[in-house]
Amino acid sequence: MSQHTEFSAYPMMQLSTLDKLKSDLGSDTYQHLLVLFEQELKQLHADISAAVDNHAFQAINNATHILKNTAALYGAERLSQSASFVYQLNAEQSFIPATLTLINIIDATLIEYKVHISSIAE
Amino acid sequence: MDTTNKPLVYVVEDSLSSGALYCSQLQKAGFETEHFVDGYSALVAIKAKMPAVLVQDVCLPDISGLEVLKYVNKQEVSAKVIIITSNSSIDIAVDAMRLGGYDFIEKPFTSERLITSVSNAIKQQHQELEIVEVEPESTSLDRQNFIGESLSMHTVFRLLESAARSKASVFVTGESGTGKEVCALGLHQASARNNGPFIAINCAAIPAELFESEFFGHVKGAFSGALTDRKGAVEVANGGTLFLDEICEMQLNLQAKLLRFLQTGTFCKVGSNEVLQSDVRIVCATNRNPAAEVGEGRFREDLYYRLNVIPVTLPPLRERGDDILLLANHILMAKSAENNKKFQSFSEDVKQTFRQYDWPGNIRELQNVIENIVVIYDGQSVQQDMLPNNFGHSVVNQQQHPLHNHISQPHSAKDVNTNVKVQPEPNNNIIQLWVVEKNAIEDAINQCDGNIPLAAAYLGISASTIYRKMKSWVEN
Repeated sequence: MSQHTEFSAYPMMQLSTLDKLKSDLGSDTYQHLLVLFEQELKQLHADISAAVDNHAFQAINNATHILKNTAALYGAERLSQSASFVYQLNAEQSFIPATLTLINIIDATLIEYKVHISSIAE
Repeated sequence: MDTTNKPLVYVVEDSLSSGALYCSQLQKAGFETEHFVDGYSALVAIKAKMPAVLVQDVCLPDISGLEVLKYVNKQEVSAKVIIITSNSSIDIAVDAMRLGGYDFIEKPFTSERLITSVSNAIKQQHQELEIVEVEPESTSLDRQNFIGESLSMHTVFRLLESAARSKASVFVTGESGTGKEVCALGLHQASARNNGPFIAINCAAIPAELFESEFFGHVKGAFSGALTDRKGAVEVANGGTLFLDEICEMQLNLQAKLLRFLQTGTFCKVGSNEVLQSDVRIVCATNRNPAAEVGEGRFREDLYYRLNVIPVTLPPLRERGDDILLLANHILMAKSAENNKKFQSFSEDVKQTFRQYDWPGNIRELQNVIENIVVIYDGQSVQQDMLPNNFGHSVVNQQQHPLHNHISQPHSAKDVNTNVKVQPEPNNNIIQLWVVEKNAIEDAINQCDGNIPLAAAYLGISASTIYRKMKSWVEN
């Protein structure tokens, strides 16, 4: 079974988590936080892509450490699972293929969240 | 220190959006917040203005979160530090608690868990400040119940005083009878939770099938016999301390449930899906070696690290030197007062016997010996021939401590206690005391719908005592 198949069991965007954030914090704060999350995802995407190019294990490890928890907080379950998987690999393991999968999932997550942010902004 | 109405909370979290989320949740709950994405920025801010609480990720991009914690605790007025950690860094979080952290929260956590922890930290800080203002020289630990001048006990007192200032879990180890429950109660009374309940549970005495219900409660109809909704110990102890005696006897599946509760602060009653919250401080105890239990696979390692944040080892009485006599005098005065007797002291040969004996049953044995004497005899000084017949003949404990030689004949051959060893006549109307006690306890439990902690509260004893007695009835 490929990693893609494994992670696809998890939702890209866990709506119950997002609904709770919205009801706890109000629409304005919710929207502001989602924009921050999107910005951070873009930054981490850039960091991880650069680290893959340089085979920089530690940089990938640092980024996935942040990503696995932050993604879970914002309901990006599939991304959180993928980041957790990469995070637990060690430098001797083949971490590049798993990281490339992670980058794809970040891309897909970004698209979904952009759409969601646009929808709540309207 | 923050002087505005809203308590100031610094959030140190390397993720921009996670930190912003924590801040939003705290602001919504009435706190003023500032977010720092690295340790050095936080240090600069702390130097400029000490917050009430620091919520801090343990893994920071520049310096270790432990360094920030050490810096905070060196300041004259320090913030309460709550450590945020992931499962992978739980051992670091344990270190942080030993360095004086107030609490630690494992990711992922709910906003309720975060807000509860911060609120409790602020509440405790207010109480500490009030204590400092009113009574600058006072010690928080009530030494009335903690007798001891030996070096080993001074170490214990220091640990307990430190532990009382935090919410960290405390793991008390020591032989049977060394005062583990007294230690837990003292810790509770010295902590900011002293107005909350102290609930004791003996994990060995609760049947496995009832444990989850005793612990988390149940709803009506959850199982046959569950005639009403019932709160469990976790819910009853909300805002206070939950003492888990003989924790190593807990079955592995229940250990998993306890771990889950410790990680999230949430639980469900048996038969219900409703998620409830409870804020309890856990103090647990065992007379086993918990690390060895982990090694043998009988105790979960992750739970052990969760619980063993502040380990306290109570020394056996035989290693406490002249504490034996201090304790003996204290117990003698207390028991004399309880029984309207006039005992004031021990004869020199009794003192010598007490010093030489190795007390396999520890303080509990010492208490029993003295109570036995006080109840049976009159006088001002305890004499050698008043010592009970069976003193010094504890077979069970000889097996436990084969390296320690009990004194073989601690009292004279004169058997002055023969009159109290008379067996009850089978046909008289006298009911044995243990049966009276058993009936009273069972009646109280029935009146409380099976709620043992509540029954214990009405009886004026600890729940642990009830569990111990229930176990002894079964053995009898």
